[in-house]
Amino acid sequence: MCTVTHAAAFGRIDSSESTSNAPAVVAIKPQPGAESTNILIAYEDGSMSLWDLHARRPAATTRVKLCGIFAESGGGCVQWLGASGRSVVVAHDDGRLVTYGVPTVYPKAPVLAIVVTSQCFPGGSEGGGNCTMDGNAELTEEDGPAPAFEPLRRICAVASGRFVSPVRSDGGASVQGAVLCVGGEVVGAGMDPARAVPFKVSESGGESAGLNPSLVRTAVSAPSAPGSAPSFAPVGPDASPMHSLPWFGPVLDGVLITRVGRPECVTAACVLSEGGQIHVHDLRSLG
Amino acid sequence: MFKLTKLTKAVTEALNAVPNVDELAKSMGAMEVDPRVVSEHGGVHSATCLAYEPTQRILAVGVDTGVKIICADGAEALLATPTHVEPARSVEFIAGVGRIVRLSSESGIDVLDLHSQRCLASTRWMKDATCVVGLRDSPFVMVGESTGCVRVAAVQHGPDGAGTLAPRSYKGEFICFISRMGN
Repeated sequence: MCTVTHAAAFGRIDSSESTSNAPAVVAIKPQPGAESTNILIAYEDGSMSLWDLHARRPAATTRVKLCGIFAESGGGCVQWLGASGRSVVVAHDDGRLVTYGVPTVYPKAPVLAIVVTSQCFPGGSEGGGNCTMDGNAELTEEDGPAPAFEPLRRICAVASGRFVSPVRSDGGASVQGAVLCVGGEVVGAGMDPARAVPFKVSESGGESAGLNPSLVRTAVSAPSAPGSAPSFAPVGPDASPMHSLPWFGPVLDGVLITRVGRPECVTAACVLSEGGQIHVHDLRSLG
Repeated sequence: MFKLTKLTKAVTEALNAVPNVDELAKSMGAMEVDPRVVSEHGGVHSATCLAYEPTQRILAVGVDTGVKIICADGAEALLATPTHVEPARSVEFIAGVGRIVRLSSESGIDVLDLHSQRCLASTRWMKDATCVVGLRDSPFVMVGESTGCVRVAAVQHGPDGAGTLAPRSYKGEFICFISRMGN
């Protein structure tokens, strides 16, 4: 009756891996545009597999594991970016927000790779030794020991479907969407405000294209997916990449509210805080 | 004087007398009482998670008694869970069928219908369920477990709304359905 085991999801049909030592499933996300064909399965150890329901085999898998994924999120730590089915954003338990490129053409063999395209630390604006007021933390090796971050607990991502309908255009820096992050603050910080992270699409593609160096702590070693890749970059009017929302207590969850008929256009963020408080924040400055 | 004391004692005994509830119930006969939640207004206590449906502009709030629905026009509704009164771990809309699937912290899974505002299926999953997702335009849900397995289940309607989530094999009905969907 068991449908998909961890070993099968990574093509290890004859593996002796038992369910007792397999990592827990933390998210199941049908691929946009192919909901009845492919599902993305994410595991607690950070590995992911795009499972072909018809062929009953993995179509693509991650080759390297950056770090784990918060297990108690109920699937809220993994989100597809838009309706293209080409990019997925994952919140890791070291406070890192990572986008992965997912191939869209699946030959019968071999199993393709899900690769890292960009990453950032949404809580980095409070960390580091020389934080600036506009939120650009210089997280480089010269700053001494890097700050530790709490796990990102939940995210909500919105992006335009095919990355061709920019929400905003200011001198070539087009915002294609935003990610709302819950958690990921610096360890010991008293507050955990939700953060709206806008991102844009780098037209050039290629390895680490369009990444903001001030936000990158680890070099992206994996080859990038072909075509344009999403990247986190400062796009706000004050060049601030992160927008920390007002804090009213420990944040439990949040969703992005989009304009009616334009699912790529973010207008507000709805944040649930402890005690049943629901606050709606106007984010129209992002677009 | 003596009579007044006796009268006071009798009054005190009458006031402190405990009514015999059993006899009272027998005398009143069987009552048909069906307590149920008709409507709920006000704050969302014990809320733990959110979901948003952009097409109909509906916000779903996972609470310990079910899912609180808040619409853009101010309408509110509580889709109550029949048995899993415990903190909600996640709520998700199932696209195309107007349903919401709720996962509780104790692996209780509820499938709730927006149109009828009723619980279509409710099951305590046999393993530790970590996430659940409904497949678009289908009665199937996929359940992720702490054992690393992903399983398929289908909404099985029962009498008087007492439906369950029945585990399904990967073969047969499920694979036929997704094959039709893919064509």
